[in-house]
Amino acid sequence: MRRLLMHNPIAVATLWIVAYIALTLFPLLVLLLYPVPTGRGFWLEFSVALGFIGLAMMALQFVLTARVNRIESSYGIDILLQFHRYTSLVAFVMVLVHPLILFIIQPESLQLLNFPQAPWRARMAVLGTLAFLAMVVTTLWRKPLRIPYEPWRASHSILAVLAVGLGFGHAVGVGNYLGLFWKAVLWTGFMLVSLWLILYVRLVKPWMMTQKPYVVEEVIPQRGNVWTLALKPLGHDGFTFQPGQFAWLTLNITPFSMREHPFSMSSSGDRADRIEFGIKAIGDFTRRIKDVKPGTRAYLDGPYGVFTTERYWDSAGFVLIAGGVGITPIYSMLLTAAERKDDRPFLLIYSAPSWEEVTYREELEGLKEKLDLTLVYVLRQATEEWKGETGYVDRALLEKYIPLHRGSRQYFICAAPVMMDAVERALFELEVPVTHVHIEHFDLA
Amino acid sequence: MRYSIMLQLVTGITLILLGSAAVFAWIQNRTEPMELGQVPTSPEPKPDKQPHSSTRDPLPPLG
Repeated sequence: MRRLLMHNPIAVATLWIVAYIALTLFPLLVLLLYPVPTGRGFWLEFSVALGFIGLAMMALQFVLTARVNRIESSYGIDILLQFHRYTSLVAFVMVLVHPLILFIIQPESLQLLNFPQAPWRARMAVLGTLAFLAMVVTTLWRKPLRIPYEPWRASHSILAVLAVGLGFGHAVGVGNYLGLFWKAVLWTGFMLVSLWLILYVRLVKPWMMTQKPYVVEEVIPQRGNVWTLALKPLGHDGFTFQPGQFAWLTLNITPFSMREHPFSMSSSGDRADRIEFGIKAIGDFTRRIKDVKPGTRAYLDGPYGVFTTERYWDSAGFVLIAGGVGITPIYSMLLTAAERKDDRPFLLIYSAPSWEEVTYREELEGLKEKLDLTLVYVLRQATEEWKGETGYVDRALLEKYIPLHRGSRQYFICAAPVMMDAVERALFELEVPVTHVHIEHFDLA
Repeated sequence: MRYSIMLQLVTGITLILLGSAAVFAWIQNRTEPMELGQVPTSPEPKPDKQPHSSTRDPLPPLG
């Protein structure tokens, strides 16, 4: 059993889901012991249960976003963040339905919304719900509302602490279920663990990062408006990583500022003394990369991610599919494989806007001499002299190049979301086993 | 595709949580309260007022 849990990713992932449900329901089950006087009616109790489940789910969001390596390595951080988004919405609906039921079955309770005259327990509920609402609105519509990433991230944490704190204050204030001392102690412990996790991510981890600084060694322009940012560790050994992983980068400011950005490493995973990132100038932060001066102080939190060939050491070979700057983690995989003298076949299908914008073009051609590497460039705009593939990476193109024995390879896709969805669907239609397809979403924000 | 699988997963989890909330409400609403060691007796009429509400404020407690 232990062996199964350690080595079977599906078993590990299932275990975490069961743990999530148990952790969400445990605080509610605690309330069943030594029950309070009953007979208040089914719908009132149902409403109360929704409130407590919603609060527990909100508290558990801190676990999902705490970058716990053990959880993250079972799913990948992009999947965890998506799960965080979905479950937050479920929690929000539960928190909203909780008072709505009460208002329907006991219309006189609408007085609780009269803020100046309402008791503090009701005021806390209203304020907590408003904080939660603000969090949901600013997250779902951040781009249309033109909220920059960095202030959004800071306000997201503050609103989350407010929403959970006020929600808990409301439950304690009502006191119907948390009136018993030890029940309140258990729930307080649950809340303190959540608070500790956010303190760990926002204060403890940044402090640990300050103990291991890096400096910018050079910034190298690449094709396709991509810049290689090369860092070297300052006074420590740096870190090795599994090729394809990423790290959170803080540049030229203190890590306590919470203005960090996730980027895939593009260098060899075995070189701890020089860590490189391939960064495309597409946002406020990334457009400034080209102006970063050598010697600038940087901090890294990582490595993270499960988008790596390292986990499939017994695979017969790899099919790598990249679009634009999605080449970055894949280039790291190829570079590391070349340095390790990996003799397995690699097929790279690389979609780029034009021949001039094929990032790492010369380097990739150079790797053909060190690796069993087949390169297929797919250009969207090609000149008349171009003899290679054009258009999009679709089913017909994939069928032409991927091996007949589909399950003999592991497939890695890193591109814009639209291309990833199309390629994933095409691979599925071509009967590539779903467990052999790995995806990296690089737009985590 | 992975996100659609996860959407189904979150839907499943939500249904389990809603079911648990319903079971919680049913259990709480099913029997009269008993102290530990108390001998069960015949059902008594339900109190008109919430036990805690009268000591705190006139509005009904929610949680």
